[in-house]
Amino acid sequence: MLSTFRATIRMLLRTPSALVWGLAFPIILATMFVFMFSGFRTAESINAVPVAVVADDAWNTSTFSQVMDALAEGEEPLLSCIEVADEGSALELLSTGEVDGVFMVDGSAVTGNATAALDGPNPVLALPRLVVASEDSAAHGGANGGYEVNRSILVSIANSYAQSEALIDDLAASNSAALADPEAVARALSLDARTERVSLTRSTPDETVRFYYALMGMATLFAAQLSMLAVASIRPTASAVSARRCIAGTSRIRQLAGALLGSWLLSFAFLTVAFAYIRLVVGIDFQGREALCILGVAVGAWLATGIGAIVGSLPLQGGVSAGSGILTGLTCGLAIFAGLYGQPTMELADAIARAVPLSTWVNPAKLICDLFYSLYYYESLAPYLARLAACAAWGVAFFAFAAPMFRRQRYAHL
Amino acid sequence: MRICESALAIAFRHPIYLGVYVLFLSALGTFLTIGVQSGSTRASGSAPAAQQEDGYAPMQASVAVIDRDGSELSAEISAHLGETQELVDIADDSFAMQDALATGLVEAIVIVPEGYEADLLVSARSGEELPALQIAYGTDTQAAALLDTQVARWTALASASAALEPFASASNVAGLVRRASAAHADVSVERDVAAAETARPLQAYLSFTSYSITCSVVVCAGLVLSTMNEDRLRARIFAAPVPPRRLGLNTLAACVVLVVAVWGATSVVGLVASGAFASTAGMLPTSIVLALMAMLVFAFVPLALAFTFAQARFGEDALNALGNIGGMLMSFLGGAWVPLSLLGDSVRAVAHFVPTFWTNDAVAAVLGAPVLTMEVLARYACGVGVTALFAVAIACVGLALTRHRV
Repeated sequence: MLSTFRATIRMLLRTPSALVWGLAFPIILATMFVFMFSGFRTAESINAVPVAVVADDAWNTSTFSQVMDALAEGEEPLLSCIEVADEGSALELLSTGEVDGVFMVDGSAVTGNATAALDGPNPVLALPRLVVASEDSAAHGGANGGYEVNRSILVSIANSYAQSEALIDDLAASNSAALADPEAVARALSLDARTERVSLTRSTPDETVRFYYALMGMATLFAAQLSMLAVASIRPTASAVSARRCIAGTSRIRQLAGALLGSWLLSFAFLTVAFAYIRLVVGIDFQGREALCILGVAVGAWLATGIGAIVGSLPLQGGVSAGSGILTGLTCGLAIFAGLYGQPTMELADAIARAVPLSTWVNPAKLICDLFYSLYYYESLAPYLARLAACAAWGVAFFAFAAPMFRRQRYAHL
Repeated sequence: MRICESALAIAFRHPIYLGVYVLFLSALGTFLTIGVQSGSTRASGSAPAAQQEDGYAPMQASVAVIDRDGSELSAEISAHLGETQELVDIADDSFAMQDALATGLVEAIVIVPEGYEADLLVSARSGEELPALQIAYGTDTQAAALLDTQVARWTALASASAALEPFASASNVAGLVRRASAAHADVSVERDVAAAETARPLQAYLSFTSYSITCSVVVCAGLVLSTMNEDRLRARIFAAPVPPRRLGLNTLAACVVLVVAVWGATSVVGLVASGAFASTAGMLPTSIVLALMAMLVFAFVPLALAFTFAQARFGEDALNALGNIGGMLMSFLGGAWVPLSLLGDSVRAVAHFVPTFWTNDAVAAVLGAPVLTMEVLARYACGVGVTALFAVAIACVGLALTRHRV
């Protein structure tokens, strides 16, 4: 068994496709992700929404301009305002995608009750008007460009102002004495209403880390190529060497065990390199739980070895090429449901996971992805341990299925 | 002709590649279109009627409210958020809340602390610092910021109501806030020319097919070309009275057949999955044809790559790896994974040097335009032309390698 183990490792290290799929591919993909997410917002910060304001006389005398100024200030401003002279220039900025909306104040929109309430030298409650682009505007990144969120923020701000005005109107109609003191009204409308941002999870939520965890899921499945190659190469019909090994004095199961052990060790080593690259070079946060991640990688390699063992044991006509093709297709397919291929697939994966929770335990790519994710997000180790156990159980099931299939094959023509 | 048939036989002797790369990956592309369709449905929130009439439909984010106060005002917060957002019910339990945020079930969790109502009424009326509602953000920071804005706005309205009506009960304050919240601003939507709603799934699918077409053609055509390039086979073929030109043309013809077959299969899957056959209301039939033609032109880029790889003596494994990695890179830089507008400036600059960028631009031009104007056609022609030039340039590299080898 030890000889088979050594021979397997040597054989796999000399096989270019094993090195490409098991070692190079995850690193290349992780490097691609670095560029892919370089322009993304960071986890903790809010991207200020760019907005154009038509800074005419009506704007300058309105209280809304003060609200906008307040929202564009501070450590984490919600808005980034660009002042323009006229509506045409502002709409031009909107059409080119430089701003997500245009605010303007129409002088004629001043309402009676509001003016009466804030009579005197105070600025008037002139209603703002907002112009936005359609949610699938190409200039704003298309349907999945995240524009709808920014647009909704702007509408929410505009609505808030209209709601203050509605409150004043309501009070004027029901209890006009409440508005007798303009200073008290101004004070009431300017009370500092804030929220307190708290963190309920182990780490700050970050959209981008999930893609790297999905990548680990895909890398694990690609590692299945190693055991597939190892198992396929000890099938007697694979080559002249395999045929000679078939008549050696070592039992088939011992040969299989040696091949699987060798491919598991190499899978583990390759996946650890990929993990180290993601952790140390890319700088993805694993919340100080790296040791548990390595354990996850080891169990993931076990699962991958099981998958490869099954495919390698199948009596396929095309031999290793056919097995490689099946695994490549399987990997690409399952990675979609782990959300690897960008935002639309991540949303699809989330939707499927919510609709059919069982699917997250059946799809190995998603299982591995969630294994890392549970370490990142949950204080408790229970979700992680549950997924770790699931990976191990799947591995056992695959080996239990592959071993008899491999052993019972007959090669009558040899 | 026999050479052409033999070349095709090489490809068909590897049905697993045709099955996995052409059919399976195309089928997977359909899931991407489903993802795009499901993503777009998120925008259809329950906006105030007047705003919906204006053509504006706000985004509907999902939020959970943990009510530890059990008061009228805290119930009003839930009701207020439930009017415009998707309200999700989760237990007031640490693990349940972590789970909801981790799985993306909610974009944010709002926690109403115990004694909130009493504190708010007292502090609003005395002018003291208002009590803060707690909010935990999910993975989509911007969506959570939207919810944060709405919660802060509700607090401002409630505190203003309480301050202006010093003797009003909590239910009266809640009533004032409810009525005021019904008001909305004047919002108008500027629709740009590239806003054909029904074109989005097909456009997303075609963008993804840059990956499947690259994989398929590089591997399948590359396999044919590299096999035909094997020394022993070449020696036997050249021993026959067949001019090298005919050999080359026949091999090329086989590869073109493969390219057209790959393009045809992916196109049919895309048209069916995106519903382009069923509803062409937002898409002109001519636009669809032009978009598919752009993809056909693009398919010659991986053919040129396959030719170059074959001349460089890459084997089956190398073709497999290069096809996959190259396909992923090209589709990524074409904006298939993440919209290019969300990527960094340097990546967007690099994208201009990749054919998928130009192909996708040509496809976006014709599918997004309600009318095919000269301007749209010029943009389309530019995209397709640059793509074709990429194919020619790569093929020239392959020819140079051939010359070097001979």
